[in-house]
Amino acid sequence: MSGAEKIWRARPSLAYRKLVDGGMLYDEEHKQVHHFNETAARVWESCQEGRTTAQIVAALCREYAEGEGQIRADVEEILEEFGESELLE
Amino acid sequence: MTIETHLERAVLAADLAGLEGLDDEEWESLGERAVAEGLEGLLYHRCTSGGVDVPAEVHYAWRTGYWAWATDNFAALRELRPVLAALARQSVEVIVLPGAPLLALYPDPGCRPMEDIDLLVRPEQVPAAAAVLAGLGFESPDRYDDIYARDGLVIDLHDDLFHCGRIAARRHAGQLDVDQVWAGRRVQVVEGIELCTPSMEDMVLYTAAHALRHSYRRLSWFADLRLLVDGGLDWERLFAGARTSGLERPLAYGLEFLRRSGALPAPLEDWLAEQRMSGAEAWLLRRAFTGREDGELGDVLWSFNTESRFRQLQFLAQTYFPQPSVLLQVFPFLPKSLFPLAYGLRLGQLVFRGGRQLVGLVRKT
Repeated sequence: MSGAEKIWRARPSLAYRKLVDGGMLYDEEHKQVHHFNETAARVWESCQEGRTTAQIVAALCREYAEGEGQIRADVEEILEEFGESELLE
Repeated sequence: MTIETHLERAVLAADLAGLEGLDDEEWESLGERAVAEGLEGLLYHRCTSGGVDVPAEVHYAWRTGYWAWATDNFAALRELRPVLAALARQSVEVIVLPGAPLLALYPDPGCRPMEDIDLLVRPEQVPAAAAVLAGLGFESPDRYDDIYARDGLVIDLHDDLFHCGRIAARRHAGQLDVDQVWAGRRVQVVEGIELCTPSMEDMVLYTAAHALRHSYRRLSWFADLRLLVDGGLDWERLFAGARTSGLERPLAYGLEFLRRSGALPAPLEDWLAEQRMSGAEAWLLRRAFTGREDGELGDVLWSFNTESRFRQLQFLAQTYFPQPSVLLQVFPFLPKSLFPLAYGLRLGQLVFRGGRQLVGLVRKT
């Protein structure tokens, strides 16, 4: 399976709250709050729905004016940060 | 229109139209007032979702406050869940008093400040509750025996609604009956956490009395009240509760304020029209509303709620000169052994505040 087809899944034990210009995540285990800007919040919500990178990029391309290349780069960077922070399964 | 009026309309009536025409100085003034009154989060949310163009400095201050409240409140509620579970395991029944339950009335947890979480337990269960909290690592700050803090979570433990243990005369100035609150309790989900809370009607009475007790210094309490009365109440239950608990006056005062920025539901308008105030009381109320910023009149107004002149004087005396343990909280720098000095300091403080209030009144008149 290529990177673009990998299905991302949010760790279910994390509590997410959408905010007016982003979102936040509370990690009870580590007593830590993660803040997301609007794009990161959209990516996180997509992970909660079990989307692939390609699906996330396609959804964001419909919402934002930036080119697909830029959006893909942003999404991959955000997913990498989620992974480093152990937010994904 | 004054900045105060803009603020009231934006907060209580969600009317942002007037903000578009503010100049830089007025925005700065509005921005500062909003932060001082704990309204920056709500206004940030409303302006962002309403597409209002907020000047950069105010935007930054409001956004910072909004995210800070969102983070603190969301984390506090999540931290509260295991605490409630631990109390339940020891068969300690708990009602979560406002503000935490009021967060459910707002779009998200960034819209309302919440400095602590107030828990009501039955008087005979206070020692058990305190033991559970101590076992979980909570500690009481010096001079605050009923406050329990751990990391960012602060719990204020009550065995009645208005901490009459601190000022006993409050029992004679309208008191939400604890049995009534226990009987009316309900389960409410707040930010995904299941809480046992007072009924909506009891929360209205509690909020109205709380705002009065603090001289209406924060408009955010009226925002709570507005959302509560618009939230669908059992009017007869509310009016009966106000009557039996002797809180008709605080309720009427709060509703009078709300009426300034928009009509109330018809049953409340009808009820309010039946309430009578003496000339002095009405004058004090107007002054309390216009001088909210540095308000000191709440306790004087609250004293009208007592049943006799003797009780009124007793209430004022105990409120302004409370028992040493309470007064030492007002002057934390004073060693406990020197507590008699606290009464002199308190007198000076009251004279200073009274003078300031008088100057404010003269200016506004």
